[in-house]
Amino acid sequence: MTAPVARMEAEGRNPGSPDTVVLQASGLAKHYPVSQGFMKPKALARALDGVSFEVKAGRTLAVVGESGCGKSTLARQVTMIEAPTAGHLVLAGVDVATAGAAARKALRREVQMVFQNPFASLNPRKTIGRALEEPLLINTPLSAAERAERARAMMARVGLRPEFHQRYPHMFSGGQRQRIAIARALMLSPRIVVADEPVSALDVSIQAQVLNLLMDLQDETKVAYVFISHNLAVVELIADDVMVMYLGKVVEQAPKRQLFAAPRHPYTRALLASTPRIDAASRAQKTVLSGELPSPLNPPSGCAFHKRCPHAIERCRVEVPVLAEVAPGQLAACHRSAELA
Amino acid sequence: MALLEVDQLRVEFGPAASPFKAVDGVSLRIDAGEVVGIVGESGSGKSVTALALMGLVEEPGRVSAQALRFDGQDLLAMPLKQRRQMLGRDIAMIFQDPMSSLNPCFTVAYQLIETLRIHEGGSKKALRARALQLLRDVEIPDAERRLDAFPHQLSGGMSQRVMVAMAIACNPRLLIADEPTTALDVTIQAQMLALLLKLQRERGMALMLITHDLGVVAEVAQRVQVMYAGEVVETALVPQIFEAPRHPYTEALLSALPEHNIGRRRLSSMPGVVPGAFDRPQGCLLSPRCPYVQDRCRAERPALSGPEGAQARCYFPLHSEVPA
Repeated sequence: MTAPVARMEAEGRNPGSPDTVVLQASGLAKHYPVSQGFMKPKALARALDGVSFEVKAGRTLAVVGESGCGKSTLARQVTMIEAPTAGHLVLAGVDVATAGAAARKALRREVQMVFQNPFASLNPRKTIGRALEEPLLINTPLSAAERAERARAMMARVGLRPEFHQRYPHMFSGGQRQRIAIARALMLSPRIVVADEPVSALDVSIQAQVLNLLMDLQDETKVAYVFISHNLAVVELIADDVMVMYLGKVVEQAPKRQLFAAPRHPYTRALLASTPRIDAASRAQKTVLSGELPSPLNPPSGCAFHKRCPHAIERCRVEVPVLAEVAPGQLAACHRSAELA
Repeated sequence: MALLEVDQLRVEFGPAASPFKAVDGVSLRIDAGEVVGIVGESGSGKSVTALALMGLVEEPGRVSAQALRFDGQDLLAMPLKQRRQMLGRDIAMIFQDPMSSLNPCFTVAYQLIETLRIHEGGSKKALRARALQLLRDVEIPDAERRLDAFPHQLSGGMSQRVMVAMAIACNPRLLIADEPTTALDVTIQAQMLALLLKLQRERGMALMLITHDLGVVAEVAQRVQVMYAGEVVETALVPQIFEAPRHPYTEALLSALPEHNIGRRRLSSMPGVVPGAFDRPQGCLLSPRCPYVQDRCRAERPALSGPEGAQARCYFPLHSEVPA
């Protein structure tokens, strides 16, 4: 098989040196109008509210948070499935908002997605070969023989036997299906892959295989990952940078090592403490958060986390904290981050 | 005497001539007030074991066992009607997905009271008061209002609390929890585990916790059984199992955990998948995947061996020099 990097160069595309920023978002927001019932005014759900980040080629940004924190909305903006309400998104050096239709179409090749549930994300009536060849059929002028050749090469790369080419999705296990989904995402040698909880539906031993595959592929192709997960143990392994979200906003953003060694936002700390651990030492101090996640339709005043926060003071109820640098390279949105450090 | 005693439980599906053994010779003992974890990946038979205990395996599935005793009474010999009275009262179960376990057409109060009415009875007013108390016991905020809520008005964590309330309604002596936290968010999961443990201690219930999450077992259980492809492959005490696993499968599960691979470039992973219905090997079920496999493992299937409480289904158990 041709190595993906060599292939990108042959096609006149720059696979990106390690420092190229391939994805940049500033103040990205998405608000959905939600019907409250007949004759009632529509409410506004601020699913994503002013998120900024950048990802370099060959690096992984992990987005962490619980249901309703906006991580999947973020994935839909980055993959251009939806247009953001506000903010800028620059993919591979092109501003998505101002790009023309042709440029946007070309950009879609650069961003691909891997979904959580491999049982729902593959068409049951298409053979694996056809599913893998379809992106090539739509986006490239390759002949049928060349497409089949590339599909087989990619299958070998993700650890599937090329004989499986003619098989249907129901003939594969969950782990194999996720390999197929990853292969499909990489068929066009994208620069960014958005992976939305790619291993949370898999068993522990299969999860390890798929995570290793994702890391191997990144080393080879220098693809950038936006890795969405609620599992901090997985994030600690795969990420370079971590962004913790709560109710549409970023509460903490830092390089992985810093975030796990010295979390500065109370929510990050609570997430770390809530993760079940085997090692007795790492669960010495257990703080269980009270309360549930608030509704994005009716967020609490001030800091969205104050009702569940063990350190909340009067100021947190009134004033919305801004994301500010609390240590070199580490941002947190908390009024008390300095005193609680 | 053990509260629950299961000996050689077998659950089969498919034709009698060549059945698929979803559960094959599982033995289990749970003492009163004990927390036992059952760990395994999908297809290991852990949920089917629980369903068989609850008498919920439907035709054409076949359940057989050498002994199935609860509190000294033989569940297999007892008439069906008597067994049904016991289920839900003395043995209760909570399921993985709270959203689909509650009936969407009825209020929380109706579903809670139904359980109480069938097993205990009482006046309408008294039953409602007890239902309210149960919601308070499972720490549902604003319990009075929630009593008349429909399931769609509750969040996932709240629904799971209602499920727990229904399960503990008749003070069961054994609670079977099948992946009770898997569908929940991390912070809610921690709340749910804390709640289950609190109830277990207060009421002296035995808790059989089925999970795929070894971290949950480490935090909650006193004993653990590891299952693989329908068989128990290791039984051990917590924390011994995490310090010195005896079965290669347990070892592989532990070393595949991301938290044991921090700082390494790759996760250690076991090749292959759990064998399905038609590709179970002749010898040890793990033999195609096991890094320590020998000729004997491929030829014959090992039995559980070792001292009581620290058994492994392996001819060459690891850490055997460590006293159990």
